[in-house]
Amino acid sequence: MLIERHQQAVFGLAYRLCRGSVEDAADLAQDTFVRALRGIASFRGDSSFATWLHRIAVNLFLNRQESLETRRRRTQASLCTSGPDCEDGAVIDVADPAMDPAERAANEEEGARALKALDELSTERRIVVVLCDLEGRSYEEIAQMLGIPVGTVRSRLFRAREDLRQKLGGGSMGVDEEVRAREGKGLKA
Amino acid sequence: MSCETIREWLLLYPDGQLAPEELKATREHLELCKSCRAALAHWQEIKASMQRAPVPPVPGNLRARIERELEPPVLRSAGRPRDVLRIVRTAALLAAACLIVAVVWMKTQPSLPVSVEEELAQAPARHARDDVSGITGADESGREAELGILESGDRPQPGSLRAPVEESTAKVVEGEEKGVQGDALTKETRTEGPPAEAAWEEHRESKPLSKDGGEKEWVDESAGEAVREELERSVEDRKVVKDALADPRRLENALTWDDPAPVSEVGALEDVSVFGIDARTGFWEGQSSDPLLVLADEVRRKLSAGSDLDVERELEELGYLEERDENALREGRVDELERDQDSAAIALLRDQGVRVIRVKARSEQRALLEEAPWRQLVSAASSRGVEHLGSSRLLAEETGKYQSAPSEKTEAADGGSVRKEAQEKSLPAGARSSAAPGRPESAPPPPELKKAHPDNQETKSAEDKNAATGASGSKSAESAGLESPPKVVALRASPEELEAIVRFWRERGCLVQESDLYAILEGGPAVSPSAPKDRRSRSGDRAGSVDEQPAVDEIILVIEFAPESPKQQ
Repeated sequence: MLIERHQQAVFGLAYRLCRGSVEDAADLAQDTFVRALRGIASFRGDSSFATWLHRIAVNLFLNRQESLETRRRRTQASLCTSGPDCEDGAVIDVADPAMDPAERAANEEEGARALKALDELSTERRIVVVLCDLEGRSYEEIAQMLGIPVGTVRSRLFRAREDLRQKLGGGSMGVDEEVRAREGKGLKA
Repeated sequence: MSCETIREWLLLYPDGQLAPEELKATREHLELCKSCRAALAHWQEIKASMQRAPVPPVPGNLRARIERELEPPVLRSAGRPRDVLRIVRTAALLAAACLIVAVVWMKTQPSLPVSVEEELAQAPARHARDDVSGITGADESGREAELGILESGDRPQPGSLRAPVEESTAKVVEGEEKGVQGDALTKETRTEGPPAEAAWEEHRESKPLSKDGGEKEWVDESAGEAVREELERSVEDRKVVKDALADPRRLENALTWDDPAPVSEVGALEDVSVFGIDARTGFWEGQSSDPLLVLADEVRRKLSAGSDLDVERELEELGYLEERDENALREGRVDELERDQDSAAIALLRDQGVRVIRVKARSEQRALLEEAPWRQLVSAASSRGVEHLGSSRLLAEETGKYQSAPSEKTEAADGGSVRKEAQEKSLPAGARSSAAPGRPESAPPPPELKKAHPDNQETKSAEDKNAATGASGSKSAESAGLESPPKVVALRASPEELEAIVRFWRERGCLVQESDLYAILEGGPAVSPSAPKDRRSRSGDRAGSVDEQPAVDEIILVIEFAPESPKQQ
């Protein structure tokens, strides 16, 4: 029951943390549950059970990110030599069959682009985006999970979002307006 | 305020976690700045498309993988055909070896009368069965009395027929220590043994004492030795056995698993003795590595395969299976084999919709009961008029021991009627009737009830204070007139009280079943489908939180103590 209730959420988090690798995500989710169930005695009930599980998942991910990264690079390298999906790695068909095909295709494309940009971020920036924007965690929860101050969460989040915006075609924010404002002042003067 | 100034705030704005002044400045700027509005919209689109990106479904085998990982190593390895074969072979060898040894040994004991021979043949089996059934460890002296070993005083009479048996056992033990060959030693002891009285004394001295100072349980050492020899000769993996034999305690590894997990990582650990060999059982999510059940499985397998070998008869002769278990075995209901009466009592409580939380602790943690807040729980519940608090068979049994000496004082203080009234209310009907089959149902209530009576305000307030601090110390135990704490306790409490108590136990390293705890934390304890309707309706507001089952507002706490675990010491 415990597993069934939380497996989708934990696997989803793991999938996003592991840059879309189903295999790594399944491993991470498995280890998360195993760790949680074995160490359930240490669960004090300070947070919800789901939060506790997510925290374990994040910690496990951080502990093993180096090996995951190495594995990912190897996998990508081997995929790149073998097929047309070289650039995006393995493609997994997880489409919602109820959706209009055209809309679905557009969504998939947008989503894939966004996730690809997300994957290109550094781990520490990517984690905060995943936790905040995809998992809906508050700054405080993220700070607790990662063991960093809330201010650091904020700054990482800002930089990560800014990076994403730029990677996905957003110009440098606010420059035009500022220039215009300055120009306006100059003209008035 | 310029775009540059609010740049960071802008991208954090959708989270609603900006400081009030930051929020205000960002709003004002957004009203004026089209570029920043576009930037914000762009970010929100990105976020939405990331959220829309599908996540693949959870791999179908994830749950199985987790469960497999959580199983004790023996169960994991049991999945491998080779290991299954090894376990089965070991189990079959054990059964056969014990039978042979028992028959041969009895034939070499011409002076023993039939009744004693039977007693000895059955003793290891009964011993093992007692261990399996007694999660909390039955009264040892009672067991010895049952076996007939200590009847008519604490020792056999000089010259009695039982004495030579004890004598030879003592010699074998001594021989093991000196490294003498078993056969030669047996011959020697049978011909040149000291007088029975001296042998008994020697035997007593050679036996290690249990924690409470009593003599350790009777074990047929010679049979164990023969089984060890048989194992050494016959088991495929000789190295494992030899390594195990280097330390008899480690023989359990050959029988159960190679790397026993610490007690906190498995459902429960119990020590049993099979053929005089100590073995450890582990339970996890309803599965068991109980050596007896392994044997039973083997029997079932052979029977279903139409084997000529009448393993069932052999096991029966060995006294391993009681009649009801044999029936269950024949019908393939091995899972239904009852391991102890407490389990039955707990099951009945559960059937009645009562939540049962099991706390498992090793026997060395038994002292925790001295400081456990369960007494405070009783007191607090009583003072609020909560229906009295029950006890299981063992609690009643324990209480029976205490009623003589120290209880008189407290009875006088509280009034004798309290005991009777509390006793009548003690357990739900089913549990009460099941609590002690074969024992008088009028077992006295636990002494703590007297203490918990609402009239005893002074004690109550003191205990409440202790409960708040989480420790009462041994003082309360003394004042309650307990010589030693009960092994199994069943109490009724609110989920909040239970949560506090569970935390108390966990902090002290005891195991609380996680499924139950989870249910508590989620606020929706699971209730048996056969729970009474009135109980369900009372808690309907919380229904559906766990498996759409209603919650109950009272919970029973059961504290169990496993026998001593040599590995953990």
